[in-house]
Amino acid sequence: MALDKKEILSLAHLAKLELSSKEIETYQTQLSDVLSYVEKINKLDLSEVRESLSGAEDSDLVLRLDQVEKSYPDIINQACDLKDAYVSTPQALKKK
Amino acid sequence: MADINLEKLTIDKIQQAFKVGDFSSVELTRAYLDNIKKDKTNSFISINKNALKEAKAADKILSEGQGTVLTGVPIAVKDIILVKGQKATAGSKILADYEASYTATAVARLQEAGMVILGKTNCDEFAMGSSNENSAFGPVLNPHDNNRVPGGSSGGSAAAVAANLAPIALGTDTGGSIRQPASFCGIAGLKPSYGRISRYGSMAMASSLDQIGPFANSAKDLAYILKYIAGYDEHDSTSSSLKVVDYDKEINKDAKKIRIGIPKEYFSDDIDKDIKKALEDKIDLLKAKGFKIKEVSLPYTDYALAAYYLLMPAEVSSNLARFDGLLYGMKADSKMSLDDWYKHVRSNGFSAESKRRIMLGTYILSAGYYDAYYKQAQKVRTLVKDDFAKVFKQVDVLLTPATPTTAFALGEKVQNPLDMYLSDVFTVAANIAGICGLVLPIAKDANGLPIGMQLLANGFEEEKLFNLANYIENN
Repeated sequence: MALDKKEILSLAHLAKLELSSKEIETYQTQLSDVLSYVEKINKLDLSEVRESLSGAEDSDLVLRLDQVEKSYPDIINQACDLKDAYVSTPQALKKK
Repeated sequence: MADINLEKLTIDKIQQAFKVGDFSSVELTRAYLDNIKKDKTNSFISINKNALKEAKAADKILSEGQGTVLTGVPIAVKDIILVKGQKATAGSKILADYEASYTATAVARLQEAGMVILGKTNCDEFAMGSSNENSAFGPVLNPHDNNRVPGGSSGGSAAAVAANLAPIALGTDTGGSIRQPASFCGIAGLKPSYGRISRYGSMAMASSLDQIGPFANSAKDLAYILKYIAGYDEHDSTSSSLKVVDYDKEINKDAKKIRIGIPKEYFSDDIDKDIKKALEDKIDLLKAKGFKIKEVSLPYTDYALAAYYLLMPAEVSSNLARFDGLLYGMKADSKMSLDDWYKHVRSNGFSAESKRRIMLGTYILSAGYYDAYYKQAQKVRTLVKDDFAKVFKQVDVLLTPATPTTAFALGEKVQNPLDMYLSDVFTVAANIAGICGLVLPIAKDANGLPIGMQLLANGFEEEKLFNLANYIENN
């Protein structure tokens, strides 16, 4: 399973990463190595097997009540640009 | 001031010393802090400046005859777990200046029980690595041989206990990150069952696999800690409401009632011969003592690691998307566009290993590959769980090696990530299946490096692990 340069660049874009040409080269080899290794699971016939999301889905997991609670502004105290309780971000869309 | 011997201190020894007045919590805490100052292993990233104050408060409680078995006992905490007001870097440049705004439930419960926090320990960035070489704050050195790795990702926590910088430490285990470093550093470590401990306040790496757990110098100390940190937490919907057992009392039950299984897939010729020999010697000893031991089979063992390296990166790429420099952590120039801001922060903030796993996970979850990889891996997860479910009908505890080798040299596997990943081969299945595992030191190899043994039990049966481990430690 070999990944070409174009695929690496497309993944980097999706993951919001900028890679140097050396990194692109390294990841081409390393990701291909790992994917070749994990490919072994496709040797199994899994057509009749159900999927399992976690190790504990058969136990007694419960969701908390869906109720309004006060927010925790402490959590945003370290935001990049804080105006009162609002976080201002860099511009997302270009002006026409 | 009392001259305190910190070598392999346990909670029982510490409480006894408090009781007879050999030393106080303040004196003990100061002794550990002095040791940390002189430390050459790079185990700590930051020190709790309130440690002595916390110890003083604990001494007051003890002097009034109050408190718990943990009151006044110092502990180190992996830097991926939050303690309000203290730095929490997760070993990453992207969080180098981040200060936690709340405390993890597991830590809060230990604080409530009177424990004294010494500081935050070094780890692989966002708990990703098997050698602690992926930390932005430098590698941790193995206390048994400074040219070798302590294991990872909770390398700082393991080395701190092994180097007598703390009697207890908390780590996290997603694929072996407590058990492998415990093995490499020659101490005891526990990966509790998925859901036994709240993950609230532990930065998520792979949410369906992560668990917080303790390191210590004895199985009994692991039992004490689990008793206090286990149990339902409304802040984590995956924490279980199953009753928490008095693990420290259960530990003294008759261990010989525990049926032991030896999974043949874990004893291939690929493991170091010293490790194999040490395990076989232990098995022979247990047989001679009258334990019922039988060979069992976990046929999908070989596929568990492959499934792990599909499921884990997929979850990592989602969880690490939150590190974008907007709400916390590394920032960029506000004149940049949002897209450039994201790319600048993430490219400069993440290490090579984080980027590798994010890219891998992005690939696995992308259109066209999701069915071929991620869904297939979830099905393998079912097979691995079924493997264990069948085996645990025949036996109570599985006995296996913890790692295929003892601690490897610094730099040895850095250039070859796949080789590094393969060192998790004996530990990942427990995370995939959500069961519990304990590692304890049993011998040393020809180079004097510790050899660990792993015990695995079905979900929420930690008491069996403590019971058997305690027997093995004392016989």
